[in-house]
Amino acid sequence: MNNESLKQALSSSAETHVTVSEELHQRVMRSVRLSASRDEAIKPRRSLPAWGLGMAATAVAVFMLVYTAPVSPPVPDVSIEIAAITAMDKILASLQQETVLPEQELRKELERLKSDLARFDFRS
Amino acid sequence: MSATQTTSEQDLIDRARKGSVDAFEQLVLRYQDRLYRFLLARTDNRADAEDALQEAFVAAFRHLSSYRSRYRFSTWLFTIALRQLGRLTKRHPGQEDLHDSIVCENPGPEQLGIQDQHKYSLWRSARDCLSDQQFTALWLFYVEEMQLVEIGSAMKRPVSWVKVNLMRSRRRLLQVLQNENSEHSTNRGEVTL
Repeated sequence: MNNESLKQALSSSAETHVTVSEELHQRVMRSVRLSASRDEAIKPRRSLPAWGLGMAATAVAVFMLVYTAPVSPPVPDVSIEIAAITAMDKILASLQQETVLPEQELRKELERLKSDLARFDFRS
Repeated sequence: MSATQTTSEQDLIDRARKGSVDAFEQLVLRYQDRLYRFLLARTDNRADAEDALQEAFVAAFRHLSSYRSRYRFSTWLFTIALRQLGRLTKRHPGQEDLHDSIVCENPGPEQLGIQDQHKYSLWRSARDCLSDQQFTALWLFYVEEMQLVEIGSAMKRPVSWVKVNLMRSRRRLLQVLQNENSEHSTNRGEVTL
Protein backbone atom coordinates (compact mmCIF):
# COMPACT_ATOMS: atom_id res chain seq x y z
CA MET A 1 0.00 0.00 0.00
CA ASN A 2 1.51 3.32 -1.03
CA ASN A 3 0.77 6.90 0.07
CA GLU A 4 -1.89 7.47 -2.59
CA SER A 5 -3.87 4.36 -1.75
CA LEU A 6 -3.50 5.20 1.94
CA LYS A 7 -4.98 8.63 1.28
CA GLN A 8 -7.83 7.05 -0.68
CA ALA A 9 -8.51 4.51 2.06
CA LEU A 10 -8.40 7.08 4.86
CA SER A 11 -10.76 9.51 3.19
CA SER A 12 -13.29 6.85 2.18
CA SER A 13 -13.32 4.94 5.47
CA ALA A 14 -16.62 4.18 7.23
CA GLU A 15 -15.83 6.69 10.00
CA THR A 16 -15.93 9.51 7.49
CA HIS A 17 -19.59 8.85 6.65
CA VAL A 18 -21.15 9.10 10.12
CA THR A 19 -23.93 11.69 10.40
CA VAL A 20 -25.50 13.54 13.31
CA SER A 21 -28.98 12.35 14.26
CA GLU A 22 -31.89 14.77 14.44
CA GLU A 23 -32.08 14.11 18.17
CA LEU A 24 -28.45 15.12 18.71
CA HIS A 25 -28.89 18.21 16.56
CA GLN A 26 -31.90 19.26 18.66
CA ARG A 27 -29.91 18.65 21.83
CA VAL A 28 -27.08 20.85 20.56
CA MET A 29 -29.46 23.64 19.55
CA ARG A 30 -31.30 23.46 22.88
CA SER A 31 -27.99 24.05 24.67
CA VAL A 32 -27.12 26.92 22.34
CA ARG A 33 -30.54 28.57 22.92
CA LEU A 34 -30.17 28.11 26.66
CA SER A 35 -26.73 29.67 26.57
CA ALA A 36 -28.03 32.56 24.43
CA SER A 37 -30.88 33.32 26.84
CA ARG A 38 -28.51 33.09 29.84
CA ASP A 39 -26.09 35.53 28.19
CA GLU A 40 -28.98 37.87 27.38
CA ALA A 41 -30.07 37.85 31.02
CA ILE A 42 -26.55 38.59 32.27
CA LYS A 43 -25.96 41.43 29.77
CA PRO A 44 -26.54 44.84 31.49
CA ARG A 45 -29.43 46.82 30.05
CA ARG A 46 -28.65 50.29 28.66
CA SER A 47 -30.57 52.79 30.74
CA LEU A 48 -29.20 55.97 29.13
CA PRO A 49 -30.56 57.08 25.76
CA ALA A 50 -28.13 58.03 23.01
CA TRP A 51 -28.55 61.77 23.53
CA GLY A 52 -27.86 61.31 27.24
CA LEU A 53 -24.62 59.56 26.44
CA GLY A 54 -23.71 62.43 24.12
CA MET A 55 -24.34 65.00 26.83
CA ALA A 56 -22.34 63.03 29.35
CA ALA A 57 -19.44 62.81 26.90
CA THR A 58 -19.57 66.58 26.32
CA ALA A 59 -19.59 67.26 30.06
CA VAL A 60 -16.58 65.03 30.57
CA ALA A 61 -14.77 66.74 27.69
CA VAL A 62 -15.44 70.22 29.18
CA PHE A 63 -14.30 69.06 32.62
CA MET A 64 -11.12 67.62 31.16
CA LEU A 65 -10.44 70.83 29.24
CA VAL A 66 -10.93 73.07 32.28
CA TYR A 67 -9.38 71.06 35.06
CA THR A 68 -6.73 69.09 33.35
CA ALA A 69 -5.25 71.70 30.99
CA PRO A 70 -1.60 70.98 30.36
CA VAL A 71 0.84 72.98 32.51
CA SER A 72 3.49 74.63 30.35
CA PRO A 73 6.73 76.06 31.84
CA PRO A 74 6.88 79.92 31.95
CA VAL A 75 8.66 81.49 29.04
CA PRO A 76 11.61 83.51 30.41
CA ASP A 77 11.56 87.23 29.50
CA VAL A 78 15.15 88.03 28.47
CA SER A 79 14.80 91.83 28.62
CA ILE A 80 13.62 91.69 32.27
CA GLU A 81 16.55 89.47 33.20
CA ILE A 82 19.08 91.82 31.52
CA ALA A 83 17.60 94.85 33.34
CA ALA A 84 17.85 93.02 36.70
CA ILE A 85 21.46 92.08 36.05
CA THR A 86 22.33 95.70 35.15
CA ALA A 87 20.66 97.00 38.34
CA MET A 88 22.52 94.46 40.48
CA ASP A 89 25.78 95.45 38.82
CA LYS A 90 25.19 99.09 39.73
CA ILE A 91 24.38 98.22 43.33
CA LEU A 92 27.52 96.11 43.62
CA ALA A 93 29.64 98.94 42.21
CA SER A 94 28.21 101.45 44.69
CA LEU A 95 28.78 99.04 47.58
CA GLN A 96 32.34 98.58 46.50
CA GLN A 97 32.85 102.36 46.51
CA GLU A 98 31.29 102.72 49.94
CA THR A 99 33.48 100.03 51.49
CA VAL A 100 36.70 101.73 50.43
CA LEU A 101 37.33 103.76 53.60
CA PRO A 102 40.41 105.84 54.32
CA GLU A 103 42.93 104.34 56.74
CA GLN A 104 42.42 107.06 59.34
CA GLU A 105 38.73 106.40 59.49
CA LEU A 106 39.44 102.72 60.03
CA ARG A 107 41.90 103.47 62.85
CA LYS A 108 39.37 105.75 64.56
CA GLU A 109 36.79 103.04 64.34
CA LEU A 110 39.26 100.53 65.76
CA GLU A 111 40.05 102.79 68.70
CA ARG A 112 36.38 103.28 69.40
CA LEU A 113 35.81 99.56 69.43
CA LYS A 114 38.77 99.07 71.78
CA SER A 115 37.49 101.62 74.28
CA ASP A 116 34.04 100.02 74.12
CA LEU A 117 35.64 96.67 74.82
CA ALA A 118 37.62 98.04 77.77
CA ARG A 119 34.49 99.49 79.28
CA PHE A 120 32.64 96.29 78.91
CA ASP A 121 32.58 94.42 82.21
CA PHE A 122 32.55 90.65 81.71
CA ARG A 123 31.67 89.96 85.35
CA SER A 124 28.49 92.01 85.16
CA MET B 1 -15.55 26.55 -1.42
CA SER B 2 -17.35 28.91 -3.81
CA ALA B 3 -17.50 32.67 -3.35
CA THR B 4 -21.29 32.57 -2.86
CA GLN B 5 -20.99 30.01 -0.11
CA THR B 6 -18.23 32.02 1.60
CA THR B 7 -20.31 35.19 1.40
CA SER B 8 -23.40 33.55 2.76
CA GLU B 9 -21.34 31.91 5.48
CA GLN B 10 -19.92 35.30 6.43
CA ASP B 11 -23.45 36.67 6.40
CA LEU B 12 -24.59 33.87 8.73
CA ILE B 13 -21.63 34.54 11.03
CA ASP B 14 -22.45 38.26 11.13
CA ARG B 15 -26.09 37.56 11.94
CA ALA B 16 -25.17 34.99 14.58
CA ARG B 17 -22.78 37.52 16.13
CA LYS B 18 -25.72 39.86 16.57
CA GLY B 19 -27.48 37.10 18.49
CA SER B 20 -29.44 35.26 15.79
CA VAL B 21 -29.73 31.65 16.93
CA ASP B 22 -31.43 30.75 13.62
CA ALA B 23 -28.39 31.91 11.66
CA PHE B 24 -26.16 29.96 13.99
CA GLU B 25 -28.30 26.87 13.47
CA GLN B 26 -27.54 27.09 9.75
CA LEU B 27 -23.84 27.05 10.60
CA VAL B 28 -24.37 24.09 12.94
CA LEU B 29 -26.16 22.19 10.15
CA ARG B 30 -23.23 22.84 7.83
CA TYR B 31 -20.52 21.62 10.16
CA GLN B 32 -22.06 19.27 12.70
CA ASP B 33 -21.44 16.06 10.70
CA ARG B 34 -17.79 16.85 10.03
CA LEU B 35 -17.15 17.81 13.61
CA TYR B 36 -19.02 14.80 14.99
CA ARG B 37 -17.12 12.36 12.75
CA PHE B 38 -13.85 13.70 13.98
CA LEU B 39 -14.88 13.68 17.64
CA LEU B 40 -16.26 10.15 17.38
CA ALA B 41 -13.11 8.90 15.69
CA ARG B 42 -10.90 10.60 18.28
CA THR B 43 -12.80 9.52 21.39
CA ASP B 44 -14.22 6.25 20.04
CA ASN B 45 -17.00 6.86 22.53
CA ARG B 46 -20.41 8.07 21.39
CA ALA B 47 -21.38 9.78 24.65
CA ASP B 48 -18.11 11.70 24.86
CA ALA B 49 -18.29 12.69 21.20
CA GLU B 50 -21.86 13.97 21.65
CA ASP B 51 -20.92 15.92 24.79
CA ALA B 52 -17.89 17.43 23.08
CA LEU B 53 -19.96 18.37 20.03
CA GLN B 54 -22.58 20.07 22.16
CA GLU B 55 -20.03 21.95 24.26
CA ALA B 56 -18.03 22.94 21.17
CA PHE B 57 -21.05 24.54 19.49
CA VAL B 58 -22.13 26.31 22.68
CA ALA B 59 -18.59 27.67 23.11
CA ALA B 60 -18.51 28.69 19.44
CA PHE B 61 -21.77 30.61 19.79
CA ARG B 62 -20.64 32.36 22.96
CA HIS B 63 -17.25 33.35 21.56
CA LEU B 64 -18.29 34.08 18.00
CA SER B 65 -17.12 37.67 18.39
CA SER B 66 -13.53 36.43 18.71
CA TYR B 67 -13.61 34.68 15.31
CA ARG B 68 -11.40 36.35 12.72
CA SER B 69 -11.74 35.48 9.04
CA ARG B 70 -7.99 34.92 8.72
CA TYR B 71 -8.65 31.18 8.75
CA ARG B 72 -11.69 29.24 7.59
CA PHE B 73 -14.64 28.99 9.95
CA SER B 74 -14.22 25.20 9.98
CA THR B 75 -10.63 25.59 11.25
CA TRP B 76 -11.87 27.79 14.08
CA LEU B 77 -14.57 25.24 14.95
CA PHE B 78 -12.06 22.40 15.01
CA THR B 79 -9.80 24.45 17.30
CA ILE B 80 -12.69 24.82 19.75
CA ALA B 81 -13.63 21.14 19.42
CA LEU B 82 -10.06 20.11 20.20
CA ARG B 83 -10.11 22.29 23.32
CA GLN B 84 -13.38 20.71 24.44
CA LEU B 85 -11.91 17.29 23.79
CA GLY B 86 -8.94 18.16 26.00
CA ARG B 87 -11.27 19.21 28.82
CA LEU B 88 -13.29 16.03 28.43
CA THR B 89 -10.16 13.87 28.60
CA LYS B 90 -9.14 15.63 31.81
CA ARG B 91 -12.62 15.02 33.26
CA HIS B 92 -12.77 11.30 32.37
CA PRO B 93 -9.23 9.95 32.26
CA GLY B 94 -8.84 6.31 31.21
CA GLN B 95 -12.46 5.81 30.23
CA GLU B 96 -13.37 2.52 28.59
CA ASP B 97 -13.99 3.03 24.90
CA LEU B 98 -16.76 1.81 22.62
CA HIS B 99 -14.57 -0.72 20.89
CA ASP B 100 -13.57 -2.42 24.12
CA SER B 101 -17.14 -2.45 25.39
CA ILE B 102 -18.51 -4.37 22.39
CA VAL B 103 -15.94 -7.17 22.48
CA CYS B 104 -17.44 -10.25 24.14
CA GLU B 105 -16.27 -13.77 24.79
CA ASN B 106 -18.92 -15.61 22.79
CA PRO B 107 -19.83 -13.27 19.95
CA GLY B 108 -22.84 -13.80 17.72
CA PRO B 109 -22.75 -13.11 13.98
CA GLU B 110 -23.74 -9.45 14.50
CA GLN B 111 -20.99 -8.85 17.07
CA LEU B 112 -18.51 -10.67 14.88
CA GLY B 113 -19.40 -8.30 12.08
CA ILE B 114 -18.87 -5.26 14.30
CA GLN B 115 -15.58 -6.62 15.59
CA ASP B 116 -14.43 -7.43 12.09
CA GLN B 117 -15.36 -3.98 10.89
CA HIS B 118 -13.44 -2.44 13.76
CA LYS B 119 -10.50 -4.73 13.25
CA TYR B 120 -10.01 -3.74 9.64
CA SER B 121 -11.01 -0.12 9.89
CA LEU B 122 -8.10 2.02 8.89
CA TRP B 123 -8.89 4.75 11.36
CA ARG B 124 -9.21 2.13 14.06
CA SER B 125 -5.65 1.06 13.30
CA ALA B 126 -4.56 4.67 13.25
CA ARG B 127 -6.10 5.25 16.66
CA ASP B 128 -4.33 2.20 18.03
CA CYS B 129 -0.86 2.92 16.70
CA LEU B 130 -0.68 6.73 16.72
CA SER B 131 -0.72 9.31 19.48
CA ASP B 132 -3.82 11.52 19.86
CA GLN B 133 -1.97 14.45 18.36
CA GLN B 134 -0.76 12.45 15.36
CA PHE B 135 -4.24 11.03 14.84
CA THR B 136 -5.72 14.54 14.89
CA ALA B 137 -3.17 15.84 12.40
CA LEU B 138 -3.81 12.88 10.11
CA TRP B 139 -7.60 13.33 10.26
CA LEU B 140 -7.45 17.05 9.62
CA PHE B 141 -5.13 16.49 6.67
CA TYR B 142 -6.86 13.57 4.93
CA VAL B 143 -10.52 13.96 5.87
CA GLU B 144 -10.84 17.70 6.39
CA GLU B 145 -8.26 18.45 3.71
CA MET B 146 -6.87 21.29 5.78
CA GLN B 147 -3.62 22.97 4.84
CA LEU B 148 -0.58 22.49 7.05
CA VAL B 149 -0.86 26.06 8.34
CA GLU B 150 -4.50 25.53 9.28
CA ILE B 151 -3.71 22.27 11.07
CA GLY B 152 -0.93 24.04 12.95
CA SER B 153 -3.32 26.82 13.90
CA ALA B 154 -6.03 24.41 15.08
CA MET B 155 -3.59 22.30 17.07
CA LYS B 156 -1.49 25.22 18.33
CA ARG B 157 1.61 23.67 16.82
CA PRO B 158 4.23 24.96 14.37
CA VAL B 159 3.94 23.88 10.74
CA SER B 160 7.23 21.99 10.99
CA TRP B 161 5.73 19.85 13.77
CA VAL B 162 2.69 19.09 11.60
CA LYS B 163 4.88 18.10 8.64
CA VAL B 164 7.12 15.82 10.67
CA ASN B 165 4.24 14.15 12.49
CA LEU B 166 2.22 13.60 9.34
CA MET B 167 5.20 11.92 7.78
CA ARG B 168 5.79 9.74 10.86
CA SER B 169 2.09 8.86 11.10
CA ARG B 170 1.94 7.82 7.45
CA ARG B 171 5.05 5.72 7.80
CA ARG B 172 3.82 4.07 11.00
CA LEU B 173 0.35 3.39 9.58
CA LEU B 174 1.73 1.89 6.38
CA GLN B 175 3.98 -0.35 8.44
CA VAL B 176 1.06 -1.51 10.63
CA LEU B 177 -1.14 -2.11 7.60
CA GLN B 178 1.52 -4.15 5.84
CA ASN B 179 1.88 -6.30 8.97
CA GLU B 180 -1.90 -6.68 9.23
CA ASN B 181 -2.19 -7.61 5.55
CA SER B 182 0.54 -10.21 5.77
CA GLU B 183 -1.11 -11.71 8.90
CA HIS B 184 -4.48 -11.70 7.15
CA SER B 185 -3.14 -13.43 4.04
CA THR B 186 -1.29 -16.01 6.17
CA ASN B 187 -4.53 -16.79 8.04
CA ARG B 188 -6.45 -17.13 4.77
CA GLY B 189 -3.71 -19.44 3.50
CA GLU B 190 -4.16 -21.70 6.51
CA VAL B 191 -7.90 -21.89 5.94
CA THR B 192 -7.41 -22.78 2.25
CA LEU B 193 -4.94 -25.47 3.10
